[in-house]
Amino acid sequence: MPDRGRDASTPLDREHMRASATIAGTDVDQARALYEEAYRGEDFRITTTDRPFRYRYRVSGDDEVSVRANRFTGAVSGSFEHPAEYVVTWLTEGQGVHVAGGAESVLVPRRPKLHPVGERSSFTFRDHVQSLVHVQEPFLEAVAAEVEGHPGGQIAFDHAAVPGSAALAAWNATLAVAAPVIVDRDATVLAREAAKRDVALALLETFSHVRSAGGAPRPAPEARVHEAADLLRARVGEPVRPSDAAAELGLPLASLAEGFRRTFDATPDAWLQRARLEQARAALTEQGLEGEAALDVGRRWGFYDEHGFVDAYGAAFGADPRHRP
Amino acid sequence: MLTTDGARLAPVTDGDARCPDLFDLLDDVPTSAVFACDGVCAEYEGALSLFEDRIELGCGTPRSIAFTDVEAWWATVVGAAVTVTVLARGAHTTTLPSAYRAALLVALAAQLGPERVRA
Repeated sequence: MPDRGRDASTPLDREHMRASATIAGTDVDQARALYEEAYRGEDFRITTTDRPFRYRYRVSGDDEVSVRANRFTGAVSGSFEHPAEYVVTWLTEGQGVHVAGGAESVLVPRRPKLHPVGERSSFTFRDHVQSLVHVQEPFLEAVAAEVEGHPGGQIAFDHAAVPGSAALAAWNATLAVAAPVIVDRDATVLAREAAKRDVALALLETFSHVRSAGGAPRPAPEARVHEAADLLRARVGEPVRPSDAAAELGLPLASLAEGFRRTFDATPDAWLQRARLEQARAALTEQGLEGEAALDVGRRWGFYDEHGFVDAYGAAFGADPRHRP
Repeated sequence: MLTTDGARLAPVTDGDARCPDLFDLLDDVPTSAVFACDGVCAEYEGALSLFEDRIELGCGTPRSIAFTDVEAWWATVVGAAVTVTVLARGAHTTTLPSAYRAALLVALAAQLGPERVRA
């Protein structure tokens, strides 16, 4: 029997290193120390404006996806680097300019921008409130492998392209429902996993990038696809991912995903969501639940957004989960 | 060379008003503190606030220690956490994310004097 790396009876541990922190103060030296350390910064220069100096930095999430916010009353310039993560940022107040690769861009208020990965950027900000979403490279690249056939390695984003209004509206709508789940200490692990994935998908949809330049990956054989489906089904109540099945079977994730598309006409995650919907329906039927109680069942199965749950349930079964059949 | 010239940073106003402000979403710390940091993860939950005359350690009902009572303090980094110990009629500790170690040390040194030795 091949070594699949983990006993299938062992519960899957996907409690990533979660952390939530706020740091705030009124001292310029403390602020410089904080921001230079947090952003691999160099030569930060902080000066006061016509308002009393104050900073407040907040972060919440885990070691794969975190949301952050920064309120800074003062002027700051310097250089920084995001070494192994994709970072989307936008201002809701104030002003800012980035210079990366010799190109200068003024941050437009409330228009998200993706930072270049691993590239040192210069910046100037003044009296600003900033929101940030940090997605670690392996997490985003695994989602891209599954949904786009991304062959691995860093995703080649086109930083000169400006996202369209429809793409930004979709990003905003996703963030509005997913971010509260990512920061919620009481959210279930299935709900957090779904919210993180939705943020990754929204990032890929919003920001222009090279998609699978090498063409469609070679599909995994159908028998291996069914084997992977069995693995996912056996762990449907756990925060299992398609990449877990690919790793256990020794298959490239992009190949497994292409095999799922050909065998089930769905991505592995869409297949997994359908399996969870079936579990939710079984629970609703067995327990005779409806209304808010039905939505709670959806949340337990990872459908953190009630509108998303109702829509997905309706698409799968032609019924509203809130009403008994 | 970048400057902080306000005119050069003139705002461009064609963003999307529906773009969420994540600042309002995240937890807060006491606003009256001159420095504050808190953190929670699977392994620990900690908080530290510095006021004009005292330091508060811990979550919920924090331990309040007047600066005049502090005999020594030090910080120890283990993995992704930094544990701050304040000696004041006994040892009092709190654990925080190590990502904020540098700002913590600057803030503590400014209020309590150099690490380990009360100024």
